[in-house]
Amino acid sequence: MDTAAPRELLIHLANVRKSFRAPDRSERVVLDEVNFRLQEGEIVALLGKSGSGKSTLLRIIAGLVKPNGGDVLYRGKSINGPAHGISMVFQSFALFPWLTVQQNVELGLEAMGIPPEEREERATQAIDIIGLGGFESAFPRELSGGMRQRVGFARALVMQPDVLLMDEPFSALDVLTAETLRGDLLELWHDRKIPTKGILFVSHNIEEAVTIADRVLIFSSDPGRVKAEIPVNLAHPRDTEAPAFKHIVDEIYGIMTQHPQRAAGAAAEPLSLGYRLPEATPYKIEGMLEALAEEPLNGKADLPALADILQLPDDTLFHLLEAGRIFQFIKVEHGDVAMLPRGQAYVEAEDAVRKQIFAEQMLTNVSLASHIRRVLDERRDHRAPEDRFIQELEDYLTDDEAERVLEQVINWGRYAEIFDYDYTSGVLSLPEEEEEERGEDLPPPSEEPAAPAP
Amino acid sequence: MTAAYALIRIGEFVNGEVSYHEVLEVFGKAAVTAVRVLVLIALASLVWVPIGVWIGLRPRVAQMVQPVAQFLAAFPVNLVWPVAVVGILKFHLNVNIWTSPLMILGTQWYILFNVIAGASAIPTDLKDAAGNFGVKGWLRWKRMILPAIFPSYVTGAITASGGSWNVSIYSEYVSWGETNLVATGVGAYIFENSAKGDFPRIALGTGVMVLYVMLFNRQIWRRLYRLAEERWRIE
Repeated sequence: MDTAAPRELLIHLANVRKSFRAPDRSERVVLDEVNFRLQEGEIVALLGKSGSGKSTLLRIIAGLVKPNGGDVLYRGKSINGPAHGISMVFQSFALFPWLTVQQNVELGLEAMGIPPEEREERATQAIDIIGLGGFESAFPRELSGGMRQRVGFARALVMQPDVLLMDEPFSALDVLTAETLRGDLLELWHDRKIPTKGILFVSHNIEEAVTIADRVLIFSSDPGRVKAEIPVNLAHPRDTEAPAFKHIVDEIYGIMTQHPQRAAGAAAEPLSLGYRLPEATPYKIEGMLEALAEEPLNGKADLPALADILQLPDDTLFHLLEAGRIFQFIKVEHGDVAMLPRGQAYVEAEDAVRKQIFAEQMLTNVSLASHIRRVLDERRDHRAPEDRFIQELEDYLTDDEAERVLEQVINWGRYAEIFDYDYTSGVLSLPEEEEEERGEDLPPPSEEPAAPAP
Repeated sequence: MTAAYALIRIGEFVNGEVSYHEVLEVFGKAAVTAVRVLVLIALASLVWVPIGVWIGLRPRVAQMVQPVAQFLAAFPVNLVWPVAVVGILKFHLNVNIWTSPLMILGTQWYILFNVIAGASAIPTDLKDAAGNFGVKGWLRWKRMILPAIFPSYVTGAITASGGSWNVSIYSEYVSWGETNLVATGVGAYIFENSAKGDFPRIALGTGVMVLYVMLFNRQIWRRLYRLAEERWRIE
């Protein structure tokens, strides 16, 4: 408990809810019952899988998106539209390509009606402080990604924002550039060279979040809710190798890989037809399993160690882990991952046998795969248009998501050779050899055996 | 090169048949048509740019408007011309001015289509940034919307302008039953001479029109287009 004078509350969200109407008129809840406070002197990070509404939350605070319910307050006043004092930095930089660095930075001041001379002076100062001096007359396209994001920061900081919102500000940059820019920002913050009182940022990188933030909020997805809150009481600069640091990273990995059923009873069962299959190619799953089986992990690892070896972004890793879990190759518990017997068998087998094991696990555990296989088996020509399955999936998922899930299952099914797919005609079929074998005890097909368009 | 050769051949063909005085006259008529095209493109832009932007920034409206606009673009505008003839006769209007709108009727949609496409292609983040930094009203048009739609607007305007030159052949010489309304312009010149089957004069008229269109494209549109490409492209 803070015994010093109570710190001012900057942002206060109470029971915020946001839903969008999909083109098919169904309602999709993006944020539900979100409660959140940002106090003076705090940096807070938002973590969560894609689709957890983190970016939407930032835009609600920025006054760019209206919530459907709940209260959004900035220093006790309701936010209706963009508030002066809240500035935002974008993942895509969002610079105006036809304006110079100077003009981009001056834009917010221009909108405030500040006279040109003062504008120029303040912009030059902001450009200097962020380390872009000398590039005032350059156009964004002349700059590298890191420098462009510096313009993004200068543009936000020139407004002398009370609250700084950042939507994955470093994720479009390479590792080294991101680290430098992050360090520079933290220096400005800790040395109080900027008047900013609070920072809220969205990240997809757990280590980055723990490096910067005083508090990490973890969002669940579908709908987005605050699932956990982890305080980070470590002194700056933080040592990413320190045990205390690693412990927090571990804890967050653990929370983020918890199975959703425990959190929300309404969430889809893993085996239901409309389950949102993770994005993971068979080769990446294979790579993960091999890394887990080999030295130094030998079949058991905590997640940060695995992430370190695989060198994959956290998002991608989570998808791989979920795929491994669905296939019952691995189990994930409390931030640790362990190889299961089927996973071990898979890794030890040769390529052809690996495919067989993959196919078996897929047919037992992925109900969409077994469903498709059953339909193809039952049909006389062993073919079915993809639309048929997409329509079935649309009972559970949005149109885009239905297509993505089918694409994913097709990707796996082709590798496992449990069905084939023709991209041009959009037709699913049994793989060639099996079709011939089965064809023997069936009357010859009436139509020409013409293959679908090449 | 090919263009120059064609011009020389046309020159040879026309020479001897048509007096120099008439050649100059045709150039003058083409200048009148040029003024017409420019003024009408400007007027159509004033109308359709704001409307196109309004639609383009609203994805749902854009979706609904598209089939309507496509229908309008495919609508044979000649069907409207008798109405114009009747109107001009009834109210004793100036033929040179009031037949002009006919040449833009069918081609103005290119401007609308392209502006809608340009406005709907503005990235959400850019709109969010403008919103976040309080950029509103005229500043929003000046700093975001107009530069963002400029490349596609220029494309639309080039197409509309080229089309309007062609349409001038019919729209400067409008007939309805026994009535013929003839405006001054290279379009009317070409139409009159094709009715007579006067090949050298058709060649002269067409040649001059092509020359003007090429000059237009080089001197105005291509420059604007290069500006759009170099400075105002969204990456």
